[in-house]
Amino acid sequence: MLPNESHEFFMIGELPRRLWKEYRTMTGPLQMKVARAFIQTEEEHMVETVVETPLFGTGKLLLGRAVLNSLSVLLDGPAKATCLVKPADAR
Amino acid sequence: MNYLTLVMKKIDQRTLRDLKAEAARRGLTLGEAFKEAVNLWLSKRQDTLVLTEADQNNAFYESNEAELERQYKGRYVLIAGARLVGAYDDLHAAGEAMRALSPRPRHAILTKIGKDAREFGEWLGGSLERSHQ
Repeated sequence: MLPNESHEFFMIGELPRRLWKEYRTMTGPLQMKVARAFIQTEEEHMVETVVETPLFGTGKLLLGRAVLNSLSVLLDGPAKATCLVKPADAR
Repeated sequence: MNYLTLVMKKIDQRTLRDLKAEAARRGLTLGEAFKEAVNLWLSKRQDTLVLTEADQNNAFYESNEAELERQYKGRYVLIAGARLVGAYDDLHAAGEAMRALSPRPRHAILTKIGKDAREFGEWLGGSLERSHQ
């Protein structure tokens, strides 16, 4: 998920509105805007994914399941860092 | 941030009085209220422009959805300026076509026909955090 202002960059690759995602929450449905995107890592490995942001609301930076299913990610709380994890023999 | 002094002419008394009253009610200085009002005006104008372009692209997609499904199933289609720019076998080719658009549109639709579908998810209280207010 992205903050709303960051979504503007991705608006040239939006999905049609009728295909936008909707979440069921405790306070009612949450309609998202969805756009196609690439993730490019240091090794120039391109991963195709989508980015979403609430249609109404500010949004925030969150890694979703689609990204977590594509990349090995380490959330290092004490260091306040998000890292990509590689197998030791790949270094 | 640099702060400048701005002198404005020909503001009617009633508008200025209302602005001062509303600023005082919200606990803002006149400068803060002016900045908030300008930001709101600028973002509203931007949204209107984007919505118009997005509306046109979505209207094109919706009125041609069946035809796109019939002709381009499994391919990426790029819609900009309320027209079909092209259909591509892979996302890189679609990305190249998108970058080649001139002038660069503010909005375009890029969808894989027959693969992209409306999804529903469940979000029952994840990512809660403490408010800093």
